[in-house]
Amino acid sequence: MIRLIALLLTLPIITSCKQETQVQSTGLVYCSNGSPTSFNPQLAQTGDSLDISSQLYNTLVRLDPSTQTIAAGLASEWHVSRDGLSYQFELRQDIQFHSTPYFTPTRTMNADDVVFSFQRVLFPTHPFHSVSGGLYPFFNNTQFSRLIKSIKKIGPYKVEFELYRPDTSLLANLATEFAVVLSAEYAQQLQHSGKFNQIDHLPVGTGPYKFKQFLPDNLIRFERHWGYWEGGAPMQQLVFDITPSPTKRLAKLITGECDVMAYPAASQANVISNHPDLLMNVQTGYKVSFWSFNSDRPPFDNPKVRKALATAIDRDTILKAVYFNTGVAAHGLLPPTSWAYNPYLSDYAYSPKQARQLLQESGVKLPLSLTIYTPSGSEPYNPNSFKTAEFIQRDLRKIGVNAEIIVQEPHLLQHSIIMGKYDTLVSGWSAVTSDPDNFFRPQFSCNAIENHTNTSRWCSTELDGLINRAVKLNRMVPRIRIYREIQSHLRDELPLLPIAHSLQLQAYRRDVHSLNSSPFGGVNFAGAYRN
Amino acid sequence: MFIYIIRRLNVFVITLFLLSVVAFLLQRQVITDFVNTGNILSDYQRYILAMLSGNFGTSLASGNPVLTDILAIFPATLELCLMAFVVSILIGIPCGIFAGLSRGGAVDYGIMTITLMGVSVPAFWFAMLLMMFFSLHLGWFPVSGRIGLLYDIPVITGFNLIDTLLSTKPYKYEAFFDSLLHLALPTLVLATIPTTEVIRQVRASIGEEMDKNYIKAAQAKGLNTFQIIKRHGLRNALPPVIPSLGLQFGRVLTTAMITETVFSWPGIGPWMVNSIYLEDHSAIQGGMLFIAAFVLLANMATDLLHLLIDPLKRNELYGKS
Repeated sequence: MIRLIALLLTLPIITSCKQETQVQSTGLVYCSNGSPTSFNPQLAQTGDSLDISSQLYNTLVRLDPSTQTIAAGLASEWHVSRDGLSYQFELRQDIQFHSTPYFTPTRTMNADDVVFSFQRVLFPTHPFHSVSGGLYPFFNNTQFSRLIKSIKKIGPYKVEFELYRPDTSLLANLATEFAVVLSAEYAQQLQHSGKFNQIDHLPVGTGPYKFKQFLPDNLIRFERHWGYWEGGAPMQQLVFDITPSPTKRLAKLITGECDVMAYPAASQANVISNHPDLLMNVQTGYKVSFWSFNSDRPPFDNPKVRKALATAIDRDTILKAVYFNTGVAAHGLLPPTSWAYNPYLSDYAYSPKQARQLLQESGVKLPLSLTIYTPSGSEPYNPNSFKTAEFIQRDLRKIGVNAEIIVQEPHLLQHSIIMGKYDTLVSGWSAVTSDPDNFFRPQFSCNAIENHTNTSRWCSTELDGLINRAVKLNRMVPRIRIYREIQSHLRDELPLLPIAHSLQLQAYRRDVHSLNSSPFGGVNFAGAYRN
Repeated sequence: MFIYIIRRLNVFVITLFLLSVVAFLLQRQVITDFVNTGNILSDYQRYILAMLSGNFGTSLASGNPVLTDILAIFPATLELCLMAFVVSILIGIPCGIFAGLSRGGAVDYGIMTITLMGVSVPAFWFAMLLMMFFSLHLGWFPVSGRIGLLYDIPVITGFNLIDTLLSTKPYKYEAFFDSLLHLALPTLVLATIPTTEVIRQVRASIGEEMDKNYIKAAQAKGLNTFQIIKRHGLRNALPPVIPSLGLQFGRVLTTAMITETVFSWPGIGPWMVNSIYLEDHSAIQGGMLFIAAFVLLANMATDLLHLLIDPLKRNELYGKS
């Protein structure tokens, strides 16, 4: 008896000293932040995390991680017609779909699969269109159906997209994790058995890992897909440990229960970088936080007032206190890593004195009072919007402007934005594609006011003209020229004050290698391994 | 004996009936889309018939029948609770004996001080302290979950310790030890309450028995203390402790919900909390009734066990006490 107790007591010490076991060395655990609503990224909300997408699926084209330009994916090459109205994709012929207990593919991927995947999204008459709700938020937001006229198979491995008007941001849209290719053969089988819904819950894709098990709010288990066209993944198993709390995610990372952690909080960056077993990836995300002025409401229609308020804000303090230095100062809407970024623009320097002077020159009735609306929680582009608003309030007091902060829950705030009830708003934008159009169109085009993404309610024919002209151009140099013009136009008009680009953080254990994370927050385990 | 069981069952059924009435009235008040024909009696009849046939409704969150969800989750909680009781008996009985033997002495004071601390310390705080020290600082134990997620163990009984051993995977022993490691801290937290109770009860009843004449006779025969405790003391001191353990079950289950939430143990605690957040009424109600019924059942079971073990208790059968 005593011997047994002694054994039980020493057990944890023995086992904690144990070496890494077979199972652990052939698998990785990723602490993700939430259960996916479905296993089909086409249906995902644009704000959802899309961690599953690049494990299970591939897209026609992808973003080259180092240059942020479009590179080949499932399509080995593509041709754009002279008028910019037709895109032809040449597909690779060696792409195998996942073979799972619920589906065994009999052929490799071909043009039928691509046509099926996109027609499902585009055409309401498609048998699969209304399955799982029939809402495709990403494709709606980017107005896919108003852009694409038809998708045709023009050879066994050749597909053509026909457009209503030229739009060069199409490729960037096709490179996002939403635009995945599903198996038409699987869909056909499901259609025969009448189990349409299954296509979005038991996924079949072409990605490096295949689906094995899902326990809601608990875990997702993936298995290696040996037939992956870029070569089988080094790890046999991949498990997503669904852990909504960032504190708990970090705890699990420290104890080694997780190997990679999703979305470390800005306040955790210090702990992670000081821990001997942990590493952190940092890259500038395609995210920006800003302070919008409601240009519908006087006196914020006056550019002098906007400039005065902008000069009054000490953004460095916000970077330190709110972002804990996990952000970089934003000199414009585009992050410096974007190919269209304009490096020649000067920024508004912090100067309360100049701000006061500008405010007096503007002829506005003093003392000025205004409201600052802000969401209550943390956003992908801003770790703490409320605290940001408080700093703005404090800075405004220095120039004699009295600001009232109004905190609202997301759906209430949405309503306020639709009604345009605010003077100013602490807000931001997470881009879903690398194309600069994805920053300017939602923020500043007249149409975007009704989509309530245009938080400064900005509508100018000049800017709209520039935005539309830029996407019609095929060649890079003239496009860059126009985007630079847009940026300097915005700098002069200042419908909103950019605050910071948050850095995309990724924390992982030191023994994990070749992890590939995208600037949009996703993570790709295709080549990741443990050593 | 038979009549006694019937008597106990009676109490069980009546308590359950009252509970179902409360749950029914609450549901009628809260849920707007509850089918309400105006006649409260016929509504209740329909309700209770559904409950008796195991139909607790469908969970809004998962889309499964509530009972299916509960049965899938509850073994995790039960495993934790049973382990806690095992630990509390292993620790509590020896400690109780030592304290009882040296009543008023230093050992007694020492043990009782620790016991008092154990009763007073809030479970969630204790859990976090243990987690910070043993998991985050020393790295001995995992901070959450039931088993390392890379171990893919098929569910057979729902008890991980059994399932790992039953599985045919090459790593089944590794997986078994891994789930023991995961159990360690939550079990320790959960065991504090029944342990303190066991210590106090054993101490009291040992103290009482040791003063009795038959013990003195045994001492006079020349038996040493160990023999006395083993042959005479425990036999009389332990049986009265059993029903109090049964009564502890309710408290342990409540604490288990807190412990589970802290350690992300996928049991009934986080499940109930989540149902409350999602306003999943049928899940909340089903969970409540299930837990209540289970606690009542456990009480009844320990009562019957007590009856089987303790000859003195059998007097009750004949209405003698």
